[in-house]
Amino acid sequence: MTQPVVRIVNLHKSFGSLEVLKGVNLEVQRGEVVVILGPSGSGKSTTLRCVNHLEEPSSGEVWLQDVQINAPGANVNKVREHIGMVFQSFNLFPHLTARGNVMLAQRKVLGRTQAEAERIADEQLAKVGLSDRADHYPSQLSGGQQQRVAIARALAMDPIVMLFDEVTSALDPELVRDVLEVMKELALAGMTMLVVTHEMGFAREVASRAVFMDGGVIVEEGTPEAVFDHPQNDRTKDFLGHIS
Amino acid sequence: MSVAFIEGGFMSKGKKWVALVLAVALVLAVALTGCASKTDTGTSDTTGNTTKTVTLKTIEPGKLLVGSDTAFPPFESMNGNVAEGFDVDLMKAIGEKLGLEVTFKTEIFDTLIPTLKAGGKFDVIASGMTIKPDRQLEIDFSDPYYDSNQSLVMKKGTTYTGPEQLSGKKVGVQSGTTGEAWAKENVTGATLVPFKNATDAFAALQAGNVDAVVNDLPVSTELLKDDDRGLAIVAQIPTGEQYGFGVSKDNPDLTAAINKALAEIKSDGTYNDIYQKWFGILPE
Amino acid sequence: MGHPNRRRTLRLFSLAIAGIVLTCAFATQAIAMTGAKVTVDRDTGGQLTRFTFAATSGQDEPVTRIDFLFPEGFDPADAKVDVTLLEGLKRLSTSFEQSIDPQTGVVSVMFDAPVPPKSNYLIQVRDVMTPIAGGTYELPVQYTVEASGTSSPEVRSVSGLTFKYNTPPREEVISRWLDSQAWVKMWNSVKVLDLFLKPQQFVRAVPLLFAGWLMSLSLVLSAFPISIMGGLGTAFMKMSKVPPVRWLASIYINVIRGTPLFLQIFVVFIGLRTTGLRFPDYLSAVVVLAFNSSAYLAEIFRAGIQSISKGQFEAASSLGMTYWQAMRYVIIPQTVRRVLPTMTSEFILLFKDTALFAAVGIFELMLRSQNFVARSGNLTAYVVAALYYLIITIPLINLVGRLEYKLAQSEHGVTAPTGKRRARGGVGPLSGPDFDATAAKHESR
Repeated sequence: MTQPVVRIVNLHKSFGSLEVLKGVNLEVQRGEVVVILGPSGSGKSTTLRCVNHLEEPSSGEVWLQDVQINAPGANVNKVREHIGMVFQSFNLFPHLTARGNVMLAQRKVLGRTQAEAERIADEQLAKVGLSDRADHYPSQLSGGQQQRVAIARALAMDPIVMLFDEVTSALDPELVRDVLEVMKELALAGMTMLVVTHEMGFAREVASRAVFMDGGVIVEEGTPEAVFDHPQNDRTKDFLGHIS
Repeated sequence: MSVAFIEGGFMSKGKKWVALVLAVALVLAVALTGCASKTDTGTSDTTGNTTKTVTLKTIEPGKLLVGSDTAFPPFESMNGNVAEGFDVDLMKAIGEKLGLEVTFKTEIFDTLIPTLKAGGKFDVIASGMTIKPDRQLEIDFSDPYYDSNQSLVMKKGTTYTGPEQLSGKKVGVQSGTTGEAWAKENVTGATLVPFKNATDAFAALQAGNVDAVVNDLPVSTELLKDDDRGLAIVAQIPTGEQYGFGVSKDNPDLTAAINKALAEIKSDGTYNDIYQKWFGILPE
Repeated sequence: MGHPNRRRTLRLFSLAIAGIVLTCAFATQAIAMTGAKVTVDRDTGGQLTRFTFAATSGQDEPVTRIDFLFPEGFDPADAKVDVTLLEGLKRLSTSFEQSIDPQTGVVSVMFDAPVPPKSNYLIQVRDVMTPIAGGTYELPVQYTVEASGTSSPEVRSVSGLTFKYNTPPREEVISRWLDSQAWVKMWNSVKVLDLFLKPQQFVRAVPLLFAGWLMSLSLVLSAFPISIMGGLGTAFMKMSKVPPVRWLASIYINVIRGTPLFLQIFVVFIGLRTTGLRFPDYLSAVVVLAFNSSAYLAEIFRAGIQSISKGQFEAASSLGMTYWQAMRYVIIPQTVRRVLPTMTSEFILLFKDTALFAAVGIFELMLRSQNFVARSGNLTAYVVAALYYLIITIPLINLVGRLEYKLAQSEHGVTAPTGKRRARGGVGPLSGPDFDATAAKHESR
């Protein structure tokens, strides 16, 4: 087997006295779309945030290819350049236009020229279907549009893996579809993705692997069909029973 | 002899009332034991050397409110929250003659005259104020009670050759005073820096913010008694000015009464006692 | 130094008087009086002026009479004379009579008894009308020494007593013209108008206070950019992860915000200088203002930065930006927009606070108006000063309102309440517990 893109080994994370992750192990291979499911408080978002070091693991190892992110002295910013992340609350920069949002890190982090950054920004915006909104400010865009700009912003950095943290949870139902559509295309194009979501349909259709977390550990994992249709663990059954 | 005395103008209202009640009680007690024949404010004629007065019109009946810039020792200064000084003692002695309880109220010098004119805050100014024709257009003055002169104060060790030396320098003065007027006329080419009171001007001189201060000689002498300041009077300026008490033009009776009381105080030795207390010598 | 023909008339004059007392004045020319000088209390011509003659008489000079020979153009017809005589610093009592010859312009003081030799003379001749044209003039003075034994009374003269004043500036001329206008008299007959809005004083105060206005403005314009940098630096110190740095910032902010600016001014202008540490006035003033304002701005900036949602920082970080890149390109630009209204309010407060420098002799707007009021006894200068302050503050207050409105719109995408603007430090996009930085300030200063 080739080297995994993301490798999480015995990850622990505590907030004060509260232990949220109690030894998570996970590997994501190139081109894989891994969906993490689980009830709220199960630690799925924290796991995701540990991958690009927005949360500092209490113990354990997090690797991006051959670099350990949480090693002492690691250049976290350098590693983050290669990890795209999309948030539940979009987090677009409100003082910049859609195009400006997509260009900023290209210019300042990657050092691309103005022209190049602009070309790539327009390309990425076209991909998410927002060419006509490039000059709009976030406050002038709908939630779904904002989230698609956020995806374009992350993609413009040419990431080797994309992290999606409940990206549709804050959207009105009618806007969810556009976003999921973009994500599906991304998956089809071969992007390595780690997705925390409640969208079962999306998971079933797109995921190459489903991971079920509860109580800070991975309880069950396998193909979507295996996990959804023939869950082995009681907690998985219970959870799936509740949401479907 | 029949009026209780309360120092300072900074008592709480409550305390004033207590004092007033005590004063009235004392007066009544004296009257009942037959020592005095009358209890009317400002009227007493038993001993012959006290003043016989008509009832005086003051802002608060039975009281004489005195406006003063109380940062002008030895004429007036604040000892804690009580006013003291030559003017204060003199005013109290006058108040005693008039049968009025004297209360000092602090006011910035250059607003004393406008405030007196506006009325309602104090009846008389006792603030080392020189009698000057332009001030006499605004208010009345009592007879003079002190002869004063001006002084020029600089850092110790400075040799002073004449007003020309101050050209291009900064000269501190107290706003609205005769010292300011003198400096304006005589120290040409200097920048005059006005201060609210004399002590501020001296503090500025000490700090080097001004190069010299023109101020009333007796006050400079008093303030520079304390050698630590490192300041010295480099020139005495003979102006022969005279201090008087200011009274509103609407109250000529009060002016007359103060003049009468002042004359009495001068003749009965009280003036000399007060003078000696504050200047350490007898007047010439 | 006067026209030649005027000088000639004056000499003729002197001769005439000398003749009366049977002595040749010009023959003597003895300047036995020492330290003689003449000063005037006005610095412009064309108005009633007080002349002060000061001199000390010589050892052998019992003086019986002094004459002031006012030059052509000076009108002493309504003059009044005050005499103060001193022996050293001791005032001597005196009685005298005055006489004025309006034709010749001679004012005479005749003493009832000869003044003892070696006396200090202070003679004030009030209400002499001066010609309007400025320049240096000479006032010849003659005095008569009492006859003694063999000699007869002798007239001696003091020459070279010069004084000068300027031609009145335009506002002074306008002001005096207003004096004679009927509507001005009517206007001024209303006590309140006379006291606060006297046209004559208004005309005088406007140009005089302009320099003070420029000074106030220049102080605040010099200090504010420094404050912004200092405030930003302090804000970052306050948010530092290193505790001692944080404490240092906290102490600075709390001490400055917890004490009156007035006290801070005195510490620098009086306290530090007494210990020998001194900077020029202007620099000191700018430093105090900047120091003071930095502390307030630090809290405004800190609150502003912390009011930006954590997600913004995470988004920037997840794109690979460093802490300072995130600050520079994402957080600060948003903060600036948010704090702009509060910053403008701080600027307004700071501008008004320059008035406190009046106490330490910086000639800004307040001190100039105070001086004007002290000299004129009229409060119009305060009204003029108020107008000067308002020229700056009103547009800025308006701007704050518009900025807040725009901000509310852009952040919420909704129309903020129009009409009534929010109260200062009240509910706005920056409201909430984090954003009370200026609210506290409004109370404290």
